[in-house]
Amino acid sequence: MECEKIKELILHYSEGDLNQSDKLGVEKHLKECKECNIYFEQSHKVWNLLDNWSAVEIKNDFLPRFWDRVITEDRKKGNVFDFFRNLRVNLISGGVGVIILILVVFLVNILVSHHENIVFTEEDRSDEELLIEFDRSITKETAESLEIYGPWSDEIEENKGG
Amino acid sequence: MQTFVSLSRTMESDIELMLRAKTGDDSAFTELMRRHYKGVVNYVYRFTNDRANSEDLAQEVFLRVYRSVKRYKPQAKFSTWLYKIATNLCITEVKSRNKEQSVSLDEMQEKAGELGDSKSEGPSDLTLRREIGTAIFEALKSLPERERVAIILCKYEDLPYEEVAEVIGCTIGAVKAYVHRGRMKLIEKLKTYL
Repeated sequence: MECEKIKELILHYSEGDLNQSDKLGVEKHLKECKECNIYFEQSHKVWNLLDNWSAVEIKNDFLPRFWDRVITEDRKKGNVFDFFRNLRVNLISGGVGVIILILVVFLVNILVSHHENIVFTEEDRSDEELLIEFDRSITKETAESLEIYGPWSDEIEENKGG
Repeated sequence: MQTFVSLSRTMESDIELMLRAKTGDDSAFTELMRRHYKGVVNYVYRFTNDRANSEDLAQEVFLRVYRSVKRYKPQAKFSTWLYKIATNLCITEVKSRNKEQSVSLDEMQEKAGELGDSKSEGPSDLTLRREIGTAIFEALKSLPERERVAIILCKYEDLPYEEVAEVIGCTIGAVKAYVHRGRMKLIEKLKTYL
């Protein structure tokens, strides 16, 4: 048998998976071939070398830690799912809340504006008088300019009297 | 009577426990964890070489199993299913770590080096074991994923080839080939320690 074939069979040989003729063939080849014999030894050595990487020791509290984690995650998930489950109720109650808030703001605004104390200063009063005077003068001028169309007001008075 | 019940419970197979867990019996799941927790922690450790976070990841594995217990069908061995989940999680974790590259070489050596019983070993023995531990991890890490999984499951978890084949999703012959090829590569990579 060729060396490559032997190398492939070495694992099966170690596992005891080979039939009698293959087993004898491997054994014969290993006795004759130094390279394959070294490979066979190294294959075992490397497998045993892996044992030098020792295992980790576990902490004793792994069970309570696990169940705590389950409970914590359940709570988190519960909160999210509850929100979506009650989405319709949440939307309605949210909408009602917003409407109430708008109404309250509106009413407060009205009440506040009615109770506002407007303080007239002397300056405001003189401004107002000036505006009234201005308005009267405009009215007078308008009336005079309209006289060309006839004494409307007098005629009406006369008609009423007649 | 109580003794009989507890005795029969101890003899329950993993599948029976899973079926009980499926009905909401958390004590059955607790028993499964008692049986397999250490194995999963070490499996994760061989993959990540991170002693500190191995337990966290193992807990994550069991959390996934617990969350999917309702979907469990007793078609395969429980351990096969468990190691399949663990393998997927480990591969994802290793890939994300490779991207982040947050663990420095020194840090990895530090983590890998916590080998054996430091109280009973001299400083030189401990240093050598640390060195070998890191070398083994690096050698295994350099193997293709399937070879790595096959060797870790066969060597460290003592899983039979049939089960390893189910975890990887291949034939028994392929598992043997993965182990063989991996072993050949390990000889090359760990030559200095042979």
